[in-house]
Amino acid sequence: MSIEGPSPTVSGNMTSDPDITSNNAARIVRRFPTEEILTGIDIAGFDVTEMRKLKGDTEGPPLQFGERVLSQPKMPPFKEYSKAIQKWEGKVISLSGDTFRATLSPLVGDKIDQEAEIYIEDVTPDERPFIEPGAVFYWSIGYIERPSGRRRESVLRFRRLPMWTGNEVKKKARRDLMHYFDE
Amino acid sequence: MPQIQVQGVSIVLIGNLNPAIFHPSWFAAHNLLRSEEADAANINIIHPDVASFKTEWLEVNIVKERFQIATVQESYYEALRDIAVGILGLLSHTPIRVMGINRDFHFDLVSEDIWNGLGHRLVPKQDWKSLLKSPGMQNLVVQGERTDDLKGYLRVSVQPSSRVKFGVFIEVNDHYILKTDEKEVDGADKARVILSERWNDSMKRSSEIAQTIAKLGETA
Repeated sequence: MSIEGPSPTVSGNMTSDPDITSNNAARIVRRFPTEEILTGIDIAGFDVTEMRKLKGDTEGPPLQFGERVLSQPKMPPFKEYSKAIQKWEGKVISLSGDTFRATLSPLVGDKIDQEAEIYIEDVTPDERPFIEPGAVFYWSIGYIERPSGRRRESVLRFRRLPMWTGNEVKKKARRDLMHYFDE
Repeated sequence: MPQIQVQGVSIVLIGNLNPAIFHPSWFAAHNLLRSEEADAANINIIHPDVASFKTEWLEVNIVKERFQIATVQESYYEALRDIAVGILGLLSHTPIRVMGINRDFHFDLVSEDIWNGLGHRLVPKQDWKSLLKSPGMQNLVVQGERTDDLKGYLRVSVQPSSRVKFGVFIEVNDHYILKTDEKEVDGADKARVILSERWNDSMKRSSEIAQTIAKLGETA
């Protein structure tokens, strides 16, 4: 996979690429050193608009700003990234004093369902109101790579969806009922 | 054995968007980010044409036609999905035509021989040698049909890694076509359902594809 060779791109696809080979509207509309944006309709009539990254550069793309293109400030490569050794999706079963009990289903690592008792103190203060039976959280144990070195990390984060919680639904139902009684 | 050095996930939506609303405080107000995360966000720009900011783990880039959120923190993959699900629920009438669940991996292939072996295995050079001096694979793109009941395709890109010496970059684009007719209005809802119900399958499939490709150099 040497990088010598005069051609900047050797597309080695074995089947025909409808985006490139069709003589329809698919076209590359803008090209940057690290990416190209392909837009149009492919031979089957599907929209093929997408951005292709080249050279494995995961930094953010330049941004189209009206007719101009705004380059984002260059970020130091891999300033920080994390790897999970074990990750679970948890569901709260019950609360008791300063702990809560939860089921843990593995997402990464050992494939065994477990139950665990977790200290409420291990949850970030602003997420503690989420701890109620049925609430879903993600718990990841792994390490984080930083310029200063690798360190272990444990991240416990409750699922955040802008939907009503069970209590909110109950409160609303109660309010709706009270409305009828008031009348 | 190839080792993953860095990996990331991004969710891309193509449609008609209003970038100006995507301020970190909007994410916090709708309970998509912690208030502390939103307050500490590094804002590149928020403008009617473009919104771009970063938090400790999340990168947001939105222009009028394209929405992208990404993370390289494996601990936050599900949080990334939940943000997209939350936004699609809040903006359920936004026309969304296409969605990509994209994973990228940088593998360390350990040795130059394995690294070259992978390139030769994927793009045999015998036919190129009469045409080019020292031909080398720069970018291989292979696309396949979906095996589920949804519209779209899977596209895999393989390139030499610019990050890892003797490394390979593999990107798997799990591409969903949500709207093929202008009259269809439920693209955002379709995207939300796919993210909610197919996320784990997509993650697993992409990982298996990337791991399988990365090992090919060992048997070349």
